[in-house]
Amino acid sequence: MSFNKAKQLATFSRVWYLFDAKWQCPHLSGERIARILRGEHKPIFYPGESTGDCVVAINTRHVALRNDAWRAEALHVRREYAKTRYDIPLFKLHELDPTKVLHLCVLNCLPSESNRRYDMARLYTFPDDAVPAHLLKNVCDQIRGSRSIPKRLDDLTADEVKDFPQMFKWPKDLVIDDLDRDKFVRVVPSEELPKREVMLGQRAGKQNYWFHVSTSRHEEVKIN
Amino acid sequence: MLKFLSVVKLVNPSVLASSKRLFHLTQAVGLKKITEKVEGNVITYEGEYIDDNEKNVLKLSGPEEVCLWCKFDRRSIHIQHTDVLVLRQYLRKDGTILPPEITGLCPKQNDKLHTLIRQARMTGLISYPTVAVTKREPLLVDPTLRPEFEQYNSYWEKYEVLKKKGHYLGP
Repeated sequence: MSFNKAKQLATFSRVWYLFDAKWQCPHLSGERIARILRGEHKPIFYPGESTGDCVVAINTRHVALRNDAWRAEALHVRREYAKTRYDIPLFKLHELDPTKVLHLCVLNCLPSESNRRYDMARLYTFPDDAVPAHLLKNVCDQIRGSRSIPKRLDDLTADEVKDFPQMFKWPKDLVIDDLDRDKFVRVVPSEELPKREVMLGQRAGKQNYWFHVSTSRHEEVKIN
Repeated sequence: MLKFLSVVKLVNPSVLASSKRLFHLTQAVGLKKITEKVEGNVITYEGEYIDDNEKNVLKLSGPEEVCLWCKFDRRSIHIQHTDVLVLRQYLRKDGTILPPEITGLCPKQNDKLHTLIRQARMTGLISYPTVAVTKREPLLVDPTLRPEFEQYNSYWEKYEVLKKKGHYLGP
């Protein structure tokens, strides 16, 4: 009986949620946050009424966008007068304001004809995990992220590496020294390298991707 | 005897002089590491056998001509760029990728391997090849040293999804 009473109280009061945005996709988590801000998770939801809850999102600086969205996608700013529109690439926008990307993703998920500005006022975003105490004392629940934090290669322990099964059998006639290619390659000084510029906003060829490393073309050097 | 000499002449003499090719001509028994010792005038080459962890090799049932990753696909196990424990086995010490002759992958899955490793490098899970290979400034896992449009966190969708979307998956 008391549990039903708690549910009743939680429905009719504003519940504060905490959301840790580290390594979370803002497009996926934005839908969840928008649902809670509007109050769609409550049985008393009605579009005209303000039944939503409050959300405190932390660590928005460490948000993870999908694919190459940091480089390829941009915020299109249209101002009223001619020739005054411009694009801000997302990595630039994130540098200017680390909370803006999550804000825009949540705003995008709220229907435009509703009073979404008032719903957005109930979202508090912070670039790091430093939250003012008067907000943190209200928090009584958390929103779970949909994506797990990936592990880096240097974070792995020796036991994990040892226990994991091997994917292929090493060929019998292989000499391990063949694998160390550092000896046979000359380090070219930076003056001899051709300079490349990165093209933004369009899908460029492989030579324009900074991460493209052609490992097959070595300069073979005689040892003796 | 004459025939044998002619065969030897065909081989590049500089290759023969280096230690790593000579030992290929002997009977290949196991995975070896070759060490070189110099004591005065005498140079001794020693081939040590390495424990290649053969008991731990993963074996899946199926036809032999089908490669391991194809067998994964048939069991609907799709390897992603976040599976660092799998991808690290296909890398050399200097960060470059092993050829399919050693790994035994079919060309389709080899392309997938290259793409996954590149994605893992871009998201900062695996480090880039060393300076000696890339012949330029080292590209590091440390996000503050990367270019500004790659220094924030990102993730990649599944390879099959990107393939279906027609996303640019590299060379």
